[in-house]
Amino acid sequence: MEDFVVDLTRGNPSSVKTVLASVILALAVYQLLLAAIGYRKLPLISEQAAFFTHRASGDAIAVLIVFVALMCLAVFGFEGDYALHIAAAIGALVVLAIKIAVVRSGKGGQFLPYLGTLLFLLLAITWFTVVPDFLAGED
Amino acid sequence: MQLLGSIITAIAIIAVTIAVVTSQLGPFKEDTERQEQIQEQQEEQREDAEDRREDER
Repeated sequence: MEDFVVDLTRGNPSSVKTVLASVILALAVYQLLLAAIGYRKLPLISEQAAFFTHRASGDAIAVLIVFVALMCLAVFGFEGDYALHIAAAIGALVVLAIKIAVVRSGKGGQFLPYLGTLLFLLLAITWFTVVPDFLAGED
Repeated sequence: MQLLGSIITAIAIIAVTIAVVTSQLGPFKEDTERQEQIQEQQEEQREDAEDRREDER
């Protein structure tokens, strides 16, 4: 698996992971805006259009999160120096799974805003615990 | 249909990211050991070629 990821990224897995993680975080901010519009906190476009885009964008983000998580696990594993990064990433995956289950089942919809906010915070922690150091050339 | 579109979009983002990052950095820029190996191989090949040229003279 590690060889596959290294070959796929032509030996630059950290750089590819950094860019993809940044794309995920940018899309997560976009998700927050769409959710705010959907819940009538920001009256910019119709709620229906905002929620449709939120759902479509969310599905794409879910694929990106799983891809980056697998990449990270294959190349770096569970390195002890990044305990907070690993904990936040696992938390994000668990919350994502719960959120998908709630959306698919149609039950517990009142928890979605809290799950979404928690997911955003966990993604932000995951990003901030690795990417700034990597961009500063410390990793 | 919407789910399929989202998955295709995600795959496209991944493909474009890999293409752009690797084209900007070049192969194995992160892996210094591999880079050193490639450099050593190139130097050896250069020396071999020079030796052969000298032998021919």
